[in-house]
Amino acid sequence: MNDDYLWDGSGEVDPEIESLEQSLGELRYRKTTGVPSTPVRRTGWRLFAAAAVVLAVIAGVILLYSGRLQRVDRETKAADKIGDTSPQTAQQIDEKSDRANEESPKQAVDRGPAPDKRPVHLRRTDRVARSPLPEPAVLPPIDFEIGRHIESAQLLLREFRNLPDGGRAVDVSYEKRRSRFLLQQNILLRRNAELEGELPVGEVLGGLEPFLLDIANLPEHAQSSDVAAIKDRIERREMIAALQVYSAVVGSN
Amino acid sequence: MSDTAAAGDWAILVGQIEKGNARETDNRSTVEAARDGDQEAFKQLYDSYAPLVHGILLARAPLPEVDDLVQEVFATAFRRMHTLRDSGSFGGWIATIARNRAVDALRRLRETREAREELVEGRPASVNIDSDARARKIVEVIRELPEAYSETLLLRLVEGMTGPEIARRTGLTPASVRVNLHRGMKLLRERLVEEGLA
Repeated sequence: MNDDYLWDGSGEVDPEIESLEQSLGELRYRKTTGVPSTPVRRTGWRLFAAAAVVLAVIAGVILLYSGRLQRVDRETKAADKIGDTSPQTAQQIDEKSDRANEESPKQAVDRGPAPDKRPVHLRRTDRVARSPLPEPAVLPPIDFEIGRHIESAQLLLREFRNLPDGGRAVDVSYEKRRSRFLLQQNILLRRNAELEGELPVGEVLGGLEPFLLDIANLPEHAQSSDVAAIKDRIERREMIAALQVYSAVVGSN
Repeated sequence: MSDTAAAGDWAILVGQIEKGNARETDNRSTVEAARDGDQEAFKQLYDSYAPLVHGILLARAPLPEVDDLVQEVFATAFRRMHTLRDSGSFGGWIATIARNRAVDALRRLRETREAREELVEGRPASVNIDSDARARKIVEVIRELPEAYSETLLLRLVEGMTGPEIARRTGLTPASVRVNLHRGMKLLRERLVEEGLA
């Protein structure tokens, strides 16, 4: 065996290792780029853009309703003034804050983080205000039951998406049964969230519900075209990505 | 080996270590920037470490879920960056997250299969497997090897990482990686012959 070739690809080529590299290279991780020419699942930073949008909405609304954003914003403005050489009136500061709140999550993502002109020792003290993700201490406790439900729904959608494609009917009896159960749970949780004014949670559950409904309404042996249509919507709406991010938020709390 | 040849080998090794150290310094500053919330820095980490995470997941996780799990691992890492104390150990840290995720996914798949089998009255559940069956069979053989060997072999043969790269990314010593590759490859050759895949 040519140890050098195995170690770093140098020296004489080992034909057996080379053959394995060629076969197994098919499974290598590939970052997808702009417009795929083959039906490749979208990965990479498009996922994180979707994740950032979801988190921006959840974090922004939760912080606004809890009042923490207002307190942190005041602290940030005070720290900003130390490094910011252009004087701003209270009205200008308020207008800037209003504009930041009015812009859509996508605009917030595209805008990116504001340049930080303050000294390093000051930047660290308000990491809460500058981080694109909400710190655990800032978020109110997130209902564990909702978190478990979101994770179960995510698993169901992933399993549904991984069903085989083919010309014949597809057995979706398990997915149908799971979806009916999760749908009932989703309706209850969404209504509770809406009654309690927990808008971001209500939005996530509301976005999930149509998918659960569609899967629950399929016959046990569904037409491939119907299954494919639902799969396509799951991909286009990036539901799994959004649910993964929400699960990660709940998991770290 | 002559003194000249030994000195030459040593110089090459020192050169590799210095290059590695330089990259490590760059890496530390990228990790620190990402930890401070710099999304561009995190993107660079994603680009650098996604193959490592993918290879580790290939060694353990259900194959159809590997791509999804790569995203999950990075979503978790993004969320928990503030807990990483030593920016130099980012590779080992994210590798641990990947291994844990793989174990969770495998457990969930077993639970799901059991539930499906109950419902479908004994008809075995099937996992959706894409094309290139030979490659996947070889991966299955590699996965049956001892963990230290399988992970290193997958990083080398599937992800195309060199031994020094594997050492740098995972935090293992180059000597350990070299041993894993050599012994793993020896075992793999024997198993491939047994399975008729050589």
